[in-house]
Amino acid sequence: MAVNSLTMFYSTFGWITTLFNLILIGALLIRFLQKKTIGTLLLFFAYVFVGVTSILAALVYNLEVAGVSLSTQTLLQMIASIAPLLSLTLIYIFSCRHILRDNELLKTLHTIVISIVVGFGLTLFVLGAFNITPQFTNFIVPEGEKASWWQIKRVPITGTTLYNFSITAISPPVILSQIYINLRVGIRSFVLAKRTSKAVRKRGLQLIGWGLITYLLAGIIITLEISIHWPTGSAMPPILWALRKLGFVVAYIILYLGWIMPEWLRRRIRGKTWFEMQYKNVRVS
Amino acid sequence: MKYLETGEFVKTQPTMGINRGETIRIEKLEINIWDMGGQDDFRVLWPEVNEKSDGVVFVVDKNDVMKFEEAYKAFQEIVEHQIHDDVIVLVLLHKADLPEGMDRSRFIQEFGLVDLPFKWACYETSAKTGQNIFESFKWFFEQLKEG
Repeated sequence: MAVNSLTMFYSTFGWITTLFNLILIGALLIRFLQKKTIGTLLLFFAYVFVGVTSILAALVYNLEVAGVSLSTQTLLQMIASIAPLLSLTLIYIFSCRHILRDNELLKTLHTIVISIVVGFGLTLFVLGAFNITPQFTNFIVPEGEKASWWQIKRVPITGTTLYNFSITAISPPVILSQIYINLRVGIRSFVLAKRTSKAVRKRGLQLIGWGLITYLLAGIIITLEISIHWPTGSAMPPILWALRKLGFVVAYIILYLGWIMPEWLRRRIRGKTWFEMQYKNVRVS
Repeated sequence: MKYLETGEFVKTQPTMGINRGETIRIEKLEINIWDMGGQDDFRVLWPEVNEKSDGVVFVVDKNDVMKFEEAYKAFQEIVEHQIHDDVIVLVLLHKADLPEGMDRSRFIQEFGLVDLPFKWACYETSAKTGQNIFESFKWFFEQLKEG
């Protein structure tokens, strides 16, 4: 298959985003190996799942060029759709330890809802993959029609349709969960930043807040891209795609600064330590 | 450690795991301080850090007589198995602002510091009053600088 220049464009931006994501994952792994705490482990795995999505999203264009079967691509798309939810769950659990103050009931509800969404999507996907028509219903979209979450019809189905439908079905709850949790953690970070008088903590929380908001905005751009019917040949879809990917790059950089808070940044915010000042004064006198 | 950063008493939570704490720069020397949780569960993590360290600061609660034996065993484990011969050892008899507790000379005897084959020092310190914080770390960092 010939390499389309647009495919190359998408693929290149996909890999650039993945590279920055991998840098963040590497930094979190180093931080975990240094600190050996549950919190750093949760964050590391959260971004590993984001990394899985990022790699698969970039890889799908290479697979398309390589002529890999559509069913394999769909399988990878399904994994890429579910991975953000797993990441989100871990970020939520991490945030409950350090940022949010949810009680046990709320924590349990969050986990149950996410499990239901993942389980629902996966069940449809597996049934579709094995070409099994569920006996309990025949309400899915007919073959050949464009499947949408809201287009539920009482028509017999085939496995292939169910297979594709599962990805379509899981997307809205994934997007809603992303908005809900990232927004909550982001806003709460800003609130905590406002309350603290410690400069390093304040800046760290602000960076986490901005990082999550940027990440969320970058994600919303894709919703804009797919929900508007652009005229054929319009330059908008690739432009929005590039903006989205650059948004993720910026988000990963900000989140790196916020979650990791490298020493050079800490020193820049805080200035010299009390001990260093004292030591300097003693040496001068 | 917070006192080294801010110069004032800051109420802190017990360290969980290992905290990559402050970096202190004295002239051309850069000292990275690692704060290690003292609870039983985290002690398995100590050797990995201690083996790579040029200096160890061991903090003992001056007033907690009940935990003295436990602190002694943990300290012996560090000096016998986890650190190199040329490591600088600073022992802080902390919370010296409180009236009770073991005095420094008795502590040095009972903790076996006099027999240590390391360059060591012991100070009574307090993060509430700042007592000896600067002096003890000045000694410690200068020993590291010489090494």
